[in-house]
Amino acid sequence: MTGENKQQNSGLLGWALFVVGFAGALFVGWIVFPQLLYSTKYQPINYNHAIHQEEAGMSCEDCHFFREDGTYAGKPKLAACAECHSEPQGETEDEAKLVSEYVEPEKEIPWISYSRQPDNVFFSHAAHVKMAEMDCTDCHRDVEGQTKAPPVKINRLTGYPNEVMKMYVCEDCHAQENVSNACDVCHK
Amino acid sequence: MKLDRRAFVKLIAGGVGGTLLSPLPWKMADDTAIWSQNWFWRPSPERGGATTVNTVCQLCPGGCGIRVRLIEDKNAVRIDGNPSHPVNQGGICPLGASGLQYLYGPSRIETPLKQTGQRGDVTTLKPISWDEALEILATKLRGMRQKARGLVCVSGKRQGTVSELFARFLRAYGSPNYMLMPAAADAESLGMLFSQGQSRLPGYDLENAKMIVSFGSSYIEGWGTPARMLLAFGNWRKNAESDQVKIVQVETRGSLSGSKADDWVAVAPGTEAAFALGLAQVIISEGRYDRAFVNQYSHGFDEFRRLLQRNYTPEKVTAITEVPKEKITALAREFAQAKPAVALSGWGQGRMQGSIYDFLAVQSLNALVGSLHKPGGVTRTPSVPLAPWPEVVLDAMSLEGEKEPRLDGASEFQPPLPANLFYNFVKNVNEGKPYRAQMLWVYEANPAHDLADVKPFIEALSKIETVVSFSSFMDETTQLADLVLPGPTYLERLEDVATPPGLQYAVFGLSKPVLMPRFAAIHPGDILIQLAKSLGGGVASSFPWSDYETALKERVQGLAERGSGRVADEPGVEPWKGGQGNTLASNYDSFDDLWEKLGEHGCWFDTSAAMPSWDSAFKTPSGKFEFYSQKMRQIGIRGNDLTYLPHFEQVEPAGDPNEYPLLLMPYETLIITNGPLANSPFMTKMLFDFELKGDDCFVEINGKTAADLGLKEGDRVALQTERGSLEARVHLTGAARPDVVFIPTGLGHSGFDSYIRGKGVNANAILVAQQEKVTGLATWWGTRVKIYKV
Repeated sequence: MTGENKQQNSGLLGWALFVVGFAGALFVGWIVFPQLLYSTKYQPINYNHAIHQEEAGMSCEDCHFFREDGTYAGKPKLAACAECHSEPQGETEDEAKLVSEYVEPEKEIPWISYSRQPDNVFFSHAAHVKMAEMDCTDCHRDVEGQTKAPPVKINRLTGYPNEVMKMYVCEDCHAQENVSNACDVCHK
Repeated sequence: MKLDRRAFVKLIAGGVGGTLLSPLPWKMADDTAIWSQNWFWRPSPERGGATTVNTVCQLCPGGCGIRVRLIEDKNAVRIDGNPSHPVNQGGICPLGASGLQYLYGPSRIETPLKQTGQRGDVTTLKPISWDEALEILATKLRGMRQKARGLVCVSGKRQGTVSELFARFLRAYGSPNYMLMPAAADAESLGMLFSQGQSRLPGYDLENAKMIVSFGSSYIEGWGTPARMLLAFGNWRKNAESDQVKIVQVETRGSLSGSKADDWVAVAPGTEAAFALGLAQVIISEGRYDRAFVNQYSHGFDEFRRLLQRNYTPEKVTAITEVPKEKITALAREFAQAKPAVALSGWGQGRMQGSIYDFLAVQSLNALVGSLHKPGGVTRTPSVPLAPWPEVVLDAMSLEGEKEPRLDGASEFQPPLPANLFYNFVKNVNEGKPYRAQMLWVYEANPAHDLADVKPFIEALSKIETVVSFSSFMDETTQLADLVLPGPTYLERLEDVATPPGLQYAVFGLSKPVLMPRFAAIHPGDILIQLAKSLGGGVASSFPWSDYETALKERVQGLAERGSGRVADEPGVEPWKGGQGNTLASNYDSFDDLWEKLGEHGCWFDTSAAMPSWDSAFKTPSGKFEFYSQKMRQIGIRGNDLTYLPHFEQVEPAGDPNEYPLLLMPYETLIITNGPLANSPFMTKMLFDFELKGDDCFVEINGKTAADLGLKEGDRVALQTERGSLEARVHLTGAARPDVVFIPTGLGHSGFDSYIRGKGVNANAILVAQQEKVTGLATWWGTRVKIYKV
């Protein structure tokens, strides 16, 4: 092998290594990193939205309602569950768990929130749902027909679930809808 | 094939390029920023549904109605005014608004504490159980029962059933030494006794007055009931300009009250009473007084007139007060014409006892223009018809105690005034007479900081064997205690709140626990009941109740039986409208109903007690208002004519004028709380940077004085009086008169917590309190001082 060839070969190898490095980093950055960044948590009870809507004939507002003072109640309290589930209604494992582990000992269910805003954000559901007449599904996943509660992906670094809306999403929508983006609109 | 340096660099370069095109660095940067906002010590309040609960504020005697917003019924997040409460009508002062900082602040005491080392060393105040704490106290009390007189209690709360239980305990135990922290109310009740024959407190019908002349009262800076006064001020200013209520502030310092008045009369230091007498002289000599009142319902008018003619003509008053005589004459005419007009007394926020003659001078002015017991004038605060508790059961030892002299009595003052002379107590303890004070209880008071001229008190503490504090906070007095029995704060306990000072109608507030006590505190009322039971004998029989709530309910029964007044359940009530004597339709039908509604709304009020007629108002020997006090004679006060007449007698400020060429005068503002509590961090933040900068507070001096002393704005100075010295910065202002230095009180705490302590200096440490000759009441309006740059 001549010295020239040697050089060529090593150049090719160099570029191959470049590609390896590049592809490897892309793989790590796009595939491995998100896997590592998020932990997966499961809800304490695998809540079935579909069965409550279809078989029990409940509406969304039965559980997710606005309080009298205009604040949004978010997830229901155990008391709401206990109204029907003082005893198991069906035969699912999750329902049995609900009754024995939570309803009977009167212990609140530690639901994990999918999209709770940080403490430094003043977010009003009333302003968005009642005044701006937005649909829940503009921001949240559509739970209609969902038979399982999806696992919650929680960012190990920040502690927030991955569905928590980022600030730019708020800002984009505010800009589109001609709503003020002044700091103190959300950060009181 | 060999991995050389170049190839390696390419691998790395590829890696870097790929990384940059992946979300990793960007996401990491963002998440790291968010991570840094969520360190574990950052508080994250629990979310949930909010409820609002009505109760009554107890941070000052004002007793405003407040609403507390709670999340999930347990975490208080906001306090604002209750619009249905007649006194504050939804208003709130900065102290009331920052109440949660006291509830959740780190200076709360969590358990009973016992001093295990040197008194004053906070690190050796060790937590003990409630059982142990109460046993220690009960054992000591059993041991000293033969010398029961050695038990002393000082309460900072002048009214209310818990204070009454303390007084009751001492009486049943056999000690005459139940005392109150000094206040203007001491002079007021004595003055009312001397001039009107009854020890009642004045109630001002300010909402209906046409002209207000305030003699040194900080009428919008904490005098009376702050929220009520601010509301009244707003109402005075509502009218069209031509019909506005005229406000005159007679005060040496250019205070906020002065700047918001129509007229600020800058009298020479300490001469407000002389100015009042000057006005009285003009009103009488020009025949502008209310003849119907003076001729038929007053006694000693001629003596008063002659005294004024002799000593208080405009020329002479000008010489004393340095106010031009034209101004005196003009103001006197205006005061006599503006019907109804009312004159206010009580220096500053009403914490200083002051001179009895200052009060009498101002009341004489009210009497002259016929403003006593008339709409828009001054009457007396009506009493609330609470049912009495059964009589105290006196056993052999408490009967013995009844005969003992009080520790605040003194031979040099005249006998036996129903006064409360805390300074005499301090003096007597330091001199060890007439007997030893063995144990001191401190309730709702912080004399180790809050008492003007505090040093002699600290000295006195060292002569008292046991100091017991009932405070919820690690205040300066509690730091010096041997035993601490922390009570729940006002938001965690049941307690009644009496009619606030200076009000013309009756109010009864019920403060109730709006949340679970944060710590295992025991209500002072319950402590006393338990203690009494464990002592047995007459003491136990005097406390027949199972708990404080039962005792309180027994008294409220009286209200229910009377059936008058209303529970304040709707906004917009203006009890001062339509005059007093207005019977309100009651809105409760039984005790249970009343109790429940009180719990729900917080307050009962009544306007049905009419102002007394002039025929019935005066219980003096003459049956009239006494300009010349026969009542004083009847009580046994000896002296010459001057002793019985309102006159001006200046207490000479302590200190040699040659050594201490300037005068130091304390002042009080609404943004710095005085009393048992320290300023909340919220309030401290509201101070301007010419009041508090960093940890330095400012004293106010005139530019001329500053120039003489070579001082510039912001210079650090030492202030030295007979008592000691302090350091502060100077603020140059026209509000200060030359040769006077004004210092704010209420700062400079060394107790509480790191958010509170060390802000400014405690003026009380260098003020010198002096006592009035006849009554022994204390005054500390001025102390001689020298200042120099440091």
